[in-house]
Amino acid sequence: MRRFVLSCLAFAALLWAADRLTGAALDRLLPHTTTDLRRGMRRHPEVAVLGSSRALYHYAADTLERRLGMRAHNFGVAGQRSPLFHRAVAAMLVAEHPPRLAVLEVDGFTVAGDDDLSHLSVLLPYWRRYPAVKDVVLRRSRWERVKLLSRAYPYNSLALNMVVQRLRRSTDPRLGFQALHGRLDLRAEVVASEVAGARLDPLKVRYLGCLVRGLRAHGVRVVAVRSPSFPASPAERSAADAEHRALAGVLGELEVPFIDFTTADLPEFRDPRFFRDRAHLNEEGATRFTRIVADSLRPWLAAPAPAAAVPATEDGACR
Amino acid sequence: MLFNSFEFVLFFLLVVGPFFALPQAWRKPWLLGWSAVFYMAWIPIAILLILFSTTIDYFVARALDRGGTPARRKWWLALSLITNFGVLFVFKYYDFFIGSAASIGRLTGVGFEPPLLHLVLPIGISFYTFEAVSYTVDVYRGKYPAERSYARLLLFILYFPKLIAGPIERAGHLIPQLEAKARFDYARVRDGLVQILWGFFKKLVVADRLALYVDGVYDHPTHHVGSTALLATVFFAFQIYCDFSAYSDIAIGTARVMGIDLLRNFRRPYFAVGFRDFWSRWHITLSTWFRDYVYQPLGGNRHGFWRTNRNVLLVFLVSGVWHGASWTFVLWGMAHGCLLVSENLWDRFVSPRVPSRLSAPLWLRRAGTFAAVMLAWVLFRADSVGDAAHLYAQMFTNFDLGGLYLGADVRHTAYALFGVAVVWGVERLSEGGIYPRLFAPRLKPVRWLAYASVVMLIVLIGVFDGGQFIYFQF
Repeated sequence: MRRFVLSCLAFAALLWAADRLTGAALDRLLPHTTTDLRRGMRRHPEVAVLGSSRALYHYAADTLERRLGMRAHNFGVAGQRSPLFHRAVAAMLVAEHPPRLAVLEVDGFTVAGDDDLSHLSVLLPYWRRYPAVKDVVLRRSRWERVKLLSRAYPYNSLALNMVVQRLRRSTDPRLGFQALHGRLDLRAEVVASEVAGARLDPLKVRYLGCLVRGLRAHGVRVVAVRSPSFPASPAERSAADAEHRALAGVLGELEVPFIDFTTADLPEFRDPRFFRDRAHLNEEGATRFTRIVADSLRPWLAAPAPAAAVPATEDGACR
Repeated sequence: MLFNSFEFVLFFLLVVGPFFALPQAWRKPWLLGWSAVFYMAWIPIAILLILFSTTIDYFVARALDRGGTPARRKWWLALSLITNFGVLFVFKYYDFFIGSAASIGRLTGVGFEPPLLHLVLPIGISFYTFEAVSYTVDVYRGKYPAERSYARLLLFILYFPKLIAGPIERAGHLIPQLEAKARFDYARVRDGLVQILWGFFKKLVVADRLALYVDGVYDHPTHHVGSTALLATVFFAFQIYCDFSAYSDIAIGTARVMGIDLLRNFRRPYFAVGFRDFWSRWHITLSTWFRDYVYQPLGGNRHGFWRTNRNVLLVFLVSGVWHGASWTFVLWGMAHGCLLVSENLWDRFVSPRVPSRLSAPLWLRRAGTFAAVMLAWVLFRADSVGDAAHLYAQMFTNFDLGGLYLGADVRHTAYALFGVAVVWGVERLSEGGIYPRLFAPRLKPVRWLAYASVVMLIVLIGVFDGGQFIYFQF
């Protein structure tokens, strides 16, 4: 038994060392990869776009930069619809260098519907440095604190990508924006859009509030935008209208300007040539959309910066 | 309580940690109590079903042991079988059979709407029912004496490592081990822990990662072309193997740490040459259960070639039904029955006429076996017969390699392929050992490096938000 206990202790020490070494190596590798969410923050963007795949694929940050004449970066991440994620990224952003304007791409899932919190794992590498990130990632599961005893665990499912990116020396010429190619095929496209519903999720609403207040506390102007979707069936239109009302209500209470291109029904975005699928614009559509949205943002950039009314909590918790 | 959860790790430490420090007399109550806690972590009241079946089996076995006329003994056995299978039927099959009967009635114009029960399936019911039945049948056949201790019989049924998804134990194998005094044995404990670790690797790194792709395709079968359906089916073949064998590894490893050898459940099934060989390697404890309690009572191979094949078909029909109350499982069982019968026909009528120099090489026969087994998995995984038919049709009429879907995130697919390669390579090298030879070099530093590498791979590419084991639903 004694031999077994000693072996266990020795093996635990070996594991501890392997974990620390792996974690430290990945910590050093992260800034050299496009996986790093802070990569764009180091450019100190004046306009930052936050959101999910609809932000990532819709806001051509290079076009936005040229159109507005100021540094811009797209921080959209595919699959990240939850305001918990955006709140964490916003907190990182203001900790590094607050932008002048934050464009928050919203949809029904910003305030309603179910989200898979496992997607928040991309924030794990930053949990030690930013209290707000820690607050968010601890919501993933009740065992998250135990998992985070490991230095390597925050890189779960990321390590291979990081190594490949480093080997390829991947760059980010389009400032976070990723273009989708191809066109919507109305005959083949049978997948109905996901609908969040109009029933508000109190947790999401709370985190959206924290996100907005956290940005404003650092003098950042916030504008919410809902980018275009391809006109769908009457049932989906009706769902989109219900989501619009839910979003408008919550954003109105937070006094956040809200531009909805989904219900605006612009003639430019009734053409399937500009879409990759019903929810996403292709590169041509994204470029057109970015030009339009850039013009819509000018008045807000000209507006005075908000007063830092509510300071962020020191522990990063969203209450 | 899932094996792939932190709750189970805590439970394991809590139960196994003090186990060897306890006096021998306290060990059985200790295991019995914690096994009950383990089962009641799902739906506490479901334990009443186990208590009910075990109580009936206890008294039936005592009555059988006392002797009596053959007719009386048959009545006692019938009571046990009706009780065990009755409970299983009500909870697992009633809605399926009654619903199917109603559907047939509607088709034939005899419209009736019988009430359905919509009962929640008690977890592990198919497994512990088979263990309970094997106990009474063994006592009836005189292969095992009736248990005098009710607690001992209850522990045989409830013993937590194998309670939910096997291996399906036999009283004659497990009860004497539960009785024996287990001493702390460094090598056994180490072997058990290593087998648990390998189980975690297969579940977290391979099975749950493959599931991300497989579920994406099988949940929307009409959205995908044949090449995608085929890739998803190949992935599912590895997913279900890694998932189920991982459960068995964790169960067997946990018991081994406590000094108990559970029956082996898998022996590199995808290296099988032929379908008989496959079933002697896949879910071995279920195959041997059907052999001993269904196939042999039907006459086995004692009444000629054609009746042997009829018995094979019947056994696989029952095996399909055992897996789930759905027509997809029935067809899956029948497909395997047909494969075995075809093999028997080939061996009897074709093989003797083919010169040995023309017989297919081993690797080709192995690949052919895998391909047939893999195609049959479509029926097992598809949500309906219609979905399965659509997937088969896509595979054979609309392959379209250009439309191959690589997953919502190609990283998952890459990690999964890496995991499959590791499992395949390790199994290839293990040559049927208890656990992979990767973990058994003589040099301790090399061995430890292998353990540590597996742990780090789990940390870096394991899926920690995965679901339950596939066989929990049975």
